[in-house]
Amino acid sequence: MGALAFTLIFLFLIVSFMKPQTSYVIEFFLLRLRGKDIYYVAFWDFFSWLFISLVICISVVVFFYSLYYIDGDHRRLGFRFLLISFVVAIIFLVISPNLVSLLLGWDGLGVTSYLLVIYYARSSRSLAGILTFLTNRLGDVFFLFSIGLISFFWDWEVAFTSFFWLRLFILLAAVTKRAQVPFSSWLPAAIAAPTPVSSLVHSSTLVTAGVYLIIRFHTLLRKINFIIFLMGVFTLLVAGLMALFEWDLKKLIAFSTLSQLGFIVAAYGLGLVWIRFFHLINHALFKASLFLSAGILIHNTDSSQEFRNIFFVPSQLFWVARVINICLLCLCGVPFTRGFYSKDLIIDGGSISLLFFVFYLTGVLFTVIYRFRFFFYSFWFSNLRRPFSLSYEKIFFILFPVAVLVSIALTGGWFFFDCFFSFWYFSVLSPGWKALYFLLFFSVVFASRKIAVKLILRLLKIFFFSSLWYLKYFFSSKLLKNFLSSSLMSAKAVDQGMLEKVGPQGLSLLIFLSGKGGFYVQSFAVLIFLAIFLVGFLFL
Amino acid sequence: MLVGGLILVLFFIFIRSYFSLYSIGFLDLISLVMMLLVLYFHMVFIILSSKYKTAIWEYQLLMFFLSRSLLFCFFFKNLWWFYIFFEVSLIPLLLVIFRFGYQVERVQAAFYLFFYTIAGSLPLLTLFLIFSGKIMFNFQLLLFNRLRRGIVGFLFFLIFSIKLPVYLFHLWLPKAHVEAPVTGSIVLAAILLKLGGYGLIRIIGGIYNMPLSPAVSIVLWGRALRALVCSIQSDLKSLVAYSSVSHIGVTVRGLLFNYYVAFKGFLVVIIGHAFCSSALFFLVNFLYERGLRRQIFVLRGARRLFFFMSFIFFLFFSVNFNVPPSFNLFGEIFLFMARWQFHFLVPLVFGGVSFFVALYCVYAYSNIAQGKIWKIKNYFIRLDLNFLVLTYHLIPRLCLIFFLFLFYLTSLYKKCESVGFKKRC
Repeated sequence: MGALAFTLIFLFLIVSFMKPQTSYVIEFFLLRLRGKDIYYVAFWDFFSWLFISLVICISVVVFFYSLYYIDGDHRRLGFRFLLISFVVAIIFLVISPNLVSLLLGWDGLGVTSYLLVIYYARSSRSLAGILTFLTNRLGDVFFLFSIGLISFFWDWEVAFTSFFWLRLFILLAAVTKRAQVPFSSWLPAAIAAPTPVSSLVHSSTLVTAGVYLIIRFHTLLRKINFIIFLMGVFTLLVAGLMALFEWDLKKLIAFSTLSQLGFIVAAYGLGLVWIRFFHLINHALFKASLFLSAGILIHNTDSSQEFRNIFFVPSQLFWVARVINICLLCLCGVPFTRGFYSKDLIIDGGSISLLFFVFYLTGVLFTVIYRFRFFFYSFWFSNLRRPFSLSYEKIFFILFPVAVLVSIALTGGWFFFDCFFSFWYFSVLSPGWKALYFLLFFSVVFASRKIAVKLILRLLKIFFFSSLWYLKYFFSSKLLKNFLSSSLMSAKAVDQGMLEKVGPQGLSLLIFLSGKGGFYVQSFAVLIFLAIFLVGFLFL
Repeated sequence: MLVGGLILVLFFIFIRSYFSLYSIGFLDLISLVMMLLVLYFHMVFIILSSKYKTAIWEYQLLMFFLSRSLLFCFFFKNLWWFYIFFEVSLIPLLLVIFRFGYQVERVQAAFYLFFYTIAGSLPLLTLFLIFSGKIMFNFQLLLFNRLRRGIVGFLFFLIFSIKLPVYLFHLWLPKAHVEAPVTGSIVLAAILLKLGGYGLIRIIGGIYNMPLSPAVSIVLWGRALRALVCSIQSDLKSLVAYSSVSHIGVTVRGLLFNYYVAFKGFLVVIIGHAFCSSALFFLVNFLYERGLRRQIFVLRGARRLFFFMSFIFFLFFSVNFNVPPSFNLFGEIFLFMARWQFHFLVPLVFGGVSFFVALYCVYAYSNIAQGKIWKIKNYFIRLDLNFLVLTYHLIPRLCLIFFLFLFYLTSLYKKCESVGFKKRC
């Protein structure tokens, strides 16, 4: 608790004293290549301070939580070690503007996330781990490309150099990490990790690393903002639709993360860098607490993640239900919760074009619908049969740090809003339009139990949607199967085929055959001589 | 042993400072690093000798001859001595495979090893004899000879590419790796593979004006094909062997591109590869000793049986695909830099390959670590020995990154200029 209080104080101090304009650069000499000194650069500015303090805050909570969640596992020491290295990796990523030192955190995140996903040793988990790791690895390869490219300028800092391919590779690297549409199949798979880990992954580390990267390079990526916007919007819609059909509790939260990220990235595409950073932080806070409290629910339901299996016992899980409810309200941006401040700003900024506005509103609508779906199925329609073992005794102890996070999520909006936007703020939409948002929210509340909505959902519920628009198949099983079959073919054709036939096996066969031929010649020599003699005689 | 190594170093420094051109011994960073590697791994072999209790003297003698021949091979400046010890090192290796291998197929493997090497080295000898009147057999003077350019350079490349198996000539290596005992695999991976690269650097230096494109394309697609082949190996040791070959394939590329940075990447990768793949062979042997089998689909659930060991397994696999705090990553980065300068399309292929390398590493690891537990067949094996050997591999893996600045201190770049690399970057 002490550490938690410390990090909270740290967070507030930094936010209140750090001016957005100041930045510090610390350089460590690494090596000299051809007269060019290469440094490890740590870069501290408002973004990185805020983000690091956020990461530390959430990870401390998660660490306390995992004391309860992984309790009794004989490998918990290894788990803690992995968790700490995961957090260290993201901190390394956050503080470095230099591509090579960025790679340190980037690759480290990929590897530690792989190890965390396969923490439970089951074959399905290992497949999920492979999928997660390989998609991240793709991002690493793009990163290596961009490092090679940028070495043309003999400088690994990005700030002063930019051209198209570099931009593209950095964007692709970021896209794989933050699970945007072509590469989004790993994020639902990665919930195979233990719940504390997925809370970290979805709130402030792995997924947001990709978002943080493009914030860091927003001057570089300005020219391809439109592509970024399209990717964001597409992800928003796809993930929102997916969340409507999901029966897995954690997967639903994963899809909600995906859609929120799409929301954030689309806002980035419009150039609203500050606003989207604000929303990123808000989202991290309430998503972490949502995952943690959902973890308590799962733990309580004999580790089943289905909505339909949840035993909700109001007397036991009263506070858990409240926390989840608050987080969900933040998620869909109910006015004056924390999610509202940023979301409202983003929609406001998006209203410059009708098209963007419609996209955004659709995304928000999806958010509200799946939020209520979550709530209904887990609490209202919940299973009333009682489990054998009622809730675990430490719930209050473990809920306390989560509640701290939630209270920040609930109340900190105004404070941070003031902190971020004290220097400029104006609203585009009129108050009447703002009221539309309320209207939307409450209409969904009333409509969500009506038959019409259910009917539409049932119509939409086909294989296409439930498989993440086939992305799952393209990027996991199909890809792997094609890869393995082609490699088998090439091994048979080249390694054990051509090279052996032309090389040693063929040579030995040749020697064997020629030796045999020599033997025959030798043994039938008399006959041959006779034949030659006879032939010659005939000609004579 | 350590003291002996230090004395050797001091001796070389002495030689270098006083008889730089006319001495028989040779000192620059490459040969020094290779010699230190040989000495280091000889220590590992001595530790491993307790595995061969019945024939310990035989083993010690063989390993002694093997490591000394390799040491002298890296030591001498004269081409003839290099050639002689290059050949001599083959004999103890063959004997190790014959004597300490444990399957019938080792005869075939040894045949492959022998004939492939002979097919490379006899033409080498004839080349030497042809040019014996025309070149001085001193490496330093050899570099200024015009004959190494052009088609002769390409011939030299072909000959050394058998020893350092470039894709088309690699068939002997997985067989030899699979059939050799663990020490044989370690010596093959850690030192013997580097002989070819060493020879390439020494004789050809930077390969000027040679027909580059066929060699580059062989190396390029060869590595891609090897990554494919690697991912379907069912034999764990064979998989590691293929991955080792694929990893060493990086180095040839570095030489062919003929840039200063690529040369530096070559050195880094060679050092990193020595520790990484030999440790992988050792770990595979660890599993083999307990399960008495090497099939990847049978050796499962190692994470529940040997938690710490499987974590180390992952550490070394992760070095194989260049995870950041590893030494190899810098080699990879240097090579990527060289690739972009060489041609635009080359790094795209290599990026795909480095993705596939990660794929088979993770695939293999998850096959080994996850899943149902197999039955341990053999309980009576000393554990402390394993930890000792693994510490020998782990310490360089964790600490070498801090020695990257040594490249600065040893003023390598002066040496490279004297070797004759282009100064393009």
